[in-house]
Amino acid sequence: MNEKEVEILLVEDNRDDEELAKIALKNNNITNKMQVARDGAEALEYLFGSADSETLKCVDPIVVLLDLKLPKIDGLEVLRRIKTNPVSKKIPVVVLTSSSEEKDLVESYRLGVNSYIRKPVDFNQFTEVVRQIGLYWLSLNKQPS
Amino acid sequence: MSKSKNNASRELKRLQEEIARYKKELEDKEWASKKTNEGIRALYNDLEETHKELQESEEKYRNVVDRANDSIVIIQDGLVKFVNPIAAEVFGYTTEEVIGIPFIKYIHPDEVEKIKERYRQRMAGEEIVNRYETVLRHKDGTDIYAELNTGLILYKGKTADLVFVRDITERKQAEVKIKESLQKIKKREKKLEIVNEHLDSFAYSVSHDLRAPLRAINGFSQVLLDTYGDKVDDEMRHYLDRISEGAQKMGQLIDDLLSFSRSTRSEIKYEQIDVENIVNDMIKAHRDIIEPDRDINFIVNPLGKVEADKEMLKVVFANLLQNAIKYTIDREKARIEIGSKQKEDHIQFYIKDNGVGFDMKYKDKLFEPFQRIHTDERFTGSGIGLATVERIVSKHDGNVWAEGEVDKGATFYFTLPSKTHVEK
Repeated sequence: MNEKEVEILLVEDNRDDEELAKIALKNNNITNKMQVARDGAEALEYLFGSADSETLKCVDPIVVLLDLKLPKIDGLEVLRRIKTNPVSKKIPVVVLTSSSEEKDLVESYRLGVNSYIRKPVDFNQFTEVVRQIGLYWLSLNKQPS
Repeated sequence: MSKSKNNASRELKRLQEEIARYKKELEDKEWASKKTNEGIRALYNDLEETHKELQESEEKYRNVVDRANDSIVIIQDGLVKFVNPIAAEVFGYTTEEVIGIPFIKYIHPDEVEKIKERYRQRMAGEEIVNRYETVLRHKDGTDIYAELNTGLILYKGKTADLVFVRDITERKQAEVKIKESLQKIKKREKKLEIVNEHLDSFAYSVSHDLRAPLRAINGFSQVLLDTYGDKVDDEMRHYLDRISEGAQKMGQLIDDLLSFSRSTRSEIKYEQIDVENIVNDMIKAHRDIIEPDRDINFIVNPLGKVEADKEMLKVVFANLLQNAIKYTIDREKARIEIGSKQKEDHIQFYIKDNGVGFDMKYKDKLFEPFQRIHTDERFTGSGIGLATVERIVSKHDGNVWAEGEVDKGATFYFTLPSKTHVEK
């Protein structure tokens, strides 16, 4: 690919949340290229070429921001697919969800999620959260190439 | 002539001696006979007495047999040789109908082999259990559940089987009913579990879906402010702030409602909890993340260990701490003290603040849902926090109450019993 590599994969079905996330990233001067997938199937298609394929199609994104309640294929299933595939499992996944359910938290960590963050209603807080995520995963954290 | 006179007198003397001899014999014989008579009489009296005792004994035992609650049956050579009145009644026959009939006729077909074998073993002198349950047959074909108590006796000179039969049909029917009831209860329990799960996911979905538009409302009004900050006048800013706040309040309300409904429905999962850890974590989170700019003096006294549901206990402390933090917002030096007192059969926790306090007149309203005492704008809240605390503490069989004075601060107390629920 000629274009700059996608570094952030945002998996989010809600248009409002998507737009607010983009604004929050911009506010924090995070200019990494971002791809948006609007449901679980789209996310898997983007990563593996099709919902069923196991081979990685794209160059790994640096981080996947994953919402849990997604149409078609659920967020936890997407997480499972990424983390059980030996090729993709090193991609950091940050679950960004409004779920405060204990079972979602437990299951996410069981599947190997890297972080689990609850979306605050307050936009200022959300911006701060995005800043910290961006700071950590896009700058601080070192990953093997 | 004198010769004959002498003979006559000699003869007379001889006769007189004979008579005396006979008389003595007679007397002896009379005496002997008298003695024999007395002996016979004594024997006769003994006999009479023994006979009487025997009669009394027989009557006593007959009474027992006749009036016994349990059926008494004697079986010999495989036939029924004796039944007491109740036995006949229980089986639906008259006494005459059953005498001489093979005993297996009165046993339920499924049990016949087992009982026959036991009878054979008992008769052969083998050691077998002599008390057991079985099923017998009434004249009209219905089942009689019975408990048998058997033993060997001598009856009319031969070995026989003495059987006490206790009718336990009623007991068995009760057992069956209890089993059925238990099954019904288990089914109902399962149904309730499912209903609870449905309620849970319903409440969860509702709260989840309600929050999404709130993020939009709050987010975009904030973005408006940020994007057009310089073009926005004070009034516009004020209105946008109000929109934002409204959305935030609703978000908080949804969280509180979810927490409240969960506290009612969940089962307590007991575990040993280090209370200080929970409280210190909350204070740290507040200091580092929630309000890093506020300077509150938190005093955490030893809080010990307690057995409770961890998540629910966290909710209790979260609510009480949040209140203390909220109502001390005005204080220059906010002070919040948390401590515990070990009592005989429970632990008492307290959270004391130096905030705005409350009028003791309203101390009961504090814990009612949606009852707000402070309508002051500064103290926003959904009015469910304390109601949730009350629910959770009640569920744990504890108590919660508060003491306060207007403008002098408040202390909230709650207790948890010291019972052990967790297996060590």
